Amino acid sequence: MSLPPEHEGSEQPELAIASTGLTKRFGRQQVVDDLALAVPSGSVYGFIGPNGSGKTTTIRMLLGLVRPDSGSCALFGKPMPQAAGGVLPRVGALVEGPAFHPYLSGTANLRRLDAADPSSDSATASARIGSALDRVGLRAAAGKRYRAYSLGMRQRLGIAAALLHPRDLLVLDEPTNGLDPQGTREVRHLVAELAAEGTTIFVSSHLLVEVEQLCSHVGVMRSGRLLTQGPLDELRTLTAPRFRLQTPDPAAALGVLATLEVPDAAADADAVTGTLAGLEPERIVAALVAAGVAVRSFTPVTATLEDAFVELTGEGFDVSG
Amino acid sequence: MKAQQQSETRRRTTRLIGAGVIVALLLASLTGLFARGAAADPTLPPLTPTELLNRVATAQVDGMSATFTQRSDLGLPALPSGIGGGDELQSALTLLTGTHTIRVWTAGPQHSRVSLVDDDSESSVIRNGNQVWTWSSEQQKAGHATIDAKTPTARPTGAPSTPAEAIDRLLKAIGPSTEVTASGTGYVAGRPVYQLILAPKDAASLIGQVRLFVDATTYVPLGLRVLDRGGAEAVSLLASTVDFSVPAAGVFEFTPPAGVEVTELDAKASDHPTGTAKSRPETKTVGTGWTTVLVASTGTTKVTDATAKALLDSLPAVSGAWGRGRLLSTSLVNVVLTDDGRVAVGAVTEDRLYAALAR
Amino acid sequence: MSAAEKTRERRVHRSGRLFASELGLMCGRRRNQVGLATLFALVVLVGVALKVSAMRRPGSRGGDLVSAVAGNGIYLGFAGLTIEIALFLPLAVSVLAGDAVAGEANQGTLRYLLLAPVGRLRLLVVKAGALIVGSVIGAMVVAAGGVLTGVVLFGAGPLISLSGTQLSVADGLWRLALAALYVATGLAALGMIGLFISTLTEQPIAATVATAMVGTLLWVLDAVPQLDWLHPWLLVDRWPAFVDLLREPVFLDRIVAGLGINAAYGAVFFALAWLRFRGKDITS
Repeated sequence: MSLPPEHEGSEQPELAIASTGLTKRFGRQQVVDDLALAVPSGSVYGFIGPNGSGKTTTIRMLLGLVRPDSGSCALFGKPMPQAAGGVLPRVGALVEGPAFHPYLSGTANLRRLDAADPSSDSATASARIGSALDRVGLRAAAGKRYRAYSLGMRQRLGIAAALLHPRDLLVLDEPTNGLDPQGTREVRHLVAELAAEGTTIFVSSHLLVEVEQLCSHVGVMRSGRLLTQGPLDELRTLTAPRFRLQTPDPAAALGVLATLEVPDAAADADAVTGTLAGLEPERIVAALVAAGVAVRSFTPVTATLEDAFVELTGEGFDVSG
Repeated sequence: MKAQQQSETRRRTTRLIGAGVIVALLLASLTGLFARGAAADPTLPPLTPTELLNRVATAQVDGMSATFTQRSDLGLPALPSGIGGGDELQSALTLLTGTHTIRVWTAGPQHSRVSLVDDDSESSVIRNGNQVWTWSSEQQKAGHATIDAKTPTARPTGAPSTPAEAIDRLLKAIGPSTEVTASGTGYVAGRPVYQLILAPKDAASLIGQVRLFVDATTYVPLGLRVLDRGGAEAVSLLASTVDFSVPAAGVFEFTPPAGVEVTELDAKASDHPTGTAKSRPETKTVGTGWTTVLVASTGTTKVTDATAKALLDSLPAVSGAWGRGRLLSTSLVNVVLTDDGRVAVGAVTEDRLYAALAR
Repeated sequence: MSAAEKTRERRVHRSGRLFASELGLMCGRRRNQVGLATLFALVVLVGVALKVSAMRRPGSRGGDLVSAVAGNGIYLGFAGLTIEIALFLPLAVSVLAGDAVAGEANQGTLRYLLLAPVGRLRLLVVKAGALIVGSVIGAMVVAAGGVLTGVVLFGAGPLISLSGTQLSVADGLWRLALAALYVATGLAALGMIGLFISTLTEQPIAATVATAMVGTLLWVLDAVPQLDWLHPWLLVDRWPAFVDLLREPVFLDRIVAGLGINAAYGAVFFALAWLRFRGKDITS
């Protein structure tokens, strides 16, 4: 759960995304403040935070759409936006919802984006467009004008555009926005599939559920600052199960817990609490009993990831979506 | 962090300077298109004014194609369009205002063409041997005259007058009433020129001076500027492009196109391209040189056209021993229109006009 | 062929692909097709009006290009350019130019083009190229539409140049094509002004209106005699000089100066567009 030291980004090629001191201000508003992201290659990185916490602006800076006021960022060790031409063909992105020409069909829109990529080969365009549409289940609606698409179909076309080429990195900004439960499941499945193929995935969301189910890593944003980031497992230890012990003799209980090396045992008026920290409850109870401490009750308290984030961000997430 | 911000600031500054340089270069190229004459004056072998005038008088070129720009700023009030007085008045007035382009071709004394190039029309006078044609695209009319073969060397009245010839005539007319000084060198149409200043000695002249530009190689006049007493430019005629090679013979050929009305011109009175041979009013001249006054009797005292009358009434009323009338005053020319139908015109003070009318 | 040459050829070829896509988008857009049809319809309207007045007052003929149509339909090509050069052609180019960057920004497609990735300079070059093509198409439609309408209504024949010489039909049509191309260079320069304005906003309508207003303002300034010192510097001042192609010998001074002004305006405003666009934050 440590922030990467400064200047690590450009020297560590195993990081798909790295930034140091990334800062952006729009007018007087500090949108992104001193951000140091580290997204390992091959990870599925959940970038979560409440709406308006600076996630999209960060993504725009990572992709070279917005110039940071200070700080730097790099994709695959190449500085952005300077290396955009070389790096972006390896990156598929969905930023702040899909956007296409309303009077062109899905296929025609993808063909235009493919034409805009100097590294793509026109000879294989049709095949690649077809398979991208297949992958998001839009083949049947490929010839329809974009304006006739439903919200979900538009979102899928946006994902299809990100999949025109095999990518090393997919940046998906709120990819399940506007999708029905079935669509949401499909997108999760797709992301899992792509991750299994070795693609690094950077997915932003204000939905905790997505992160818990999909990601190997998370970064948590609030008010433009990165509160924490790291492997999901590591984060879970932060919210490791705690216990609550009722005993008439708190002082003796604390003594026993100290010998067990419970990290944060503390006593209040009527109970002793602490972190389980890998200790089995029965071992603690056995030790207490063996030391002659009366145990009225012993309750393991399992905190959710949600609780941890609420604690970190000071506000809740929209769990229901 | 601080170093990073500094490098960021430096980067922005560099970018800003780069932007400034690009814009400056582009603006410079834009101005360069129009201000090529910014070079220093050329160094030419010195000539006295008399030597220069002599060379101008004897200048001979085999041929020439040139474009002249004529500008007039006589301080005339802007005239409303569609004013009464017909096409002739209209076309006479247009030459007195604004900017005009004149294309000139010559190939010896027998071949010349002058075309007044306007926005979407053209009028020309073309001399091809003993044939003289006039053309007006606006009226879709052509005029034709044949020059008397017995006097081929004399300048026929019907022959076109190129700007160069006009300047030539001017030089002959100056005589002793003029102070001539040489005034350095310069460039006209990209060619080195001598500059001559001709200043009338008579204080009654409204013309302050005429600056004449003479090509340093051929001694052909390439332009002039007429300044009023206050030193402001009233009229200028300057070549913008000059080519001293002989133009193609086709330039002087004119065949009236099918469906165009052709008028046979009276060769004596065809100084006007339109060739209207109306009965001329009785005229006399008073004085000589720069301060010549032309007095004409129009024979009519009534102005019928309402607009023209309104225009006339707007002019200041003047009176004196010579009678009563209206004064049209410009920086270079004064005109008195008397109530008894006389007109006095001259590049002189109005008092000189009154004196001429009193005669 | 060296590898570098191959790469360059491929890059040119691929820029061509984006350019073709851009042209397809521009020409395929219903609104643009309607605009082009309007340009054409206006010439037809002028032709019909002239036919009606010619039938009412036969034989009357002035010297200007519009009244010359009654005698020879080919003149309607030139007359059409004269009539539409002040308002309709600039308006059409303003619509295209206003849409160029602001339209993509407004739709959000700009960010996906940049992520494709099309380099910002390449995108601007492609957009400018499409505007140039659009200008040529607009001027050509007016000229060709004029000739077509004129010949149907009035018939064709040799033309009389402004200098009073006779021009063959082929010569006349050739000069008309050159005139349309000359007009197109001016329109393209206005298009570059529009391209610059288009990089300033995300509202294509605002960019279009602003560009059309700039065009109109230039014509107004050009018509104020008190500002004659400024006139040679105005973009539109020498646009009508295409009639100089109807002189014999052709009078090139004003056309060359006009091409210079058009090129200078085009270059300056393309450079400004680039300076603005290269570092612009794409937040749409």
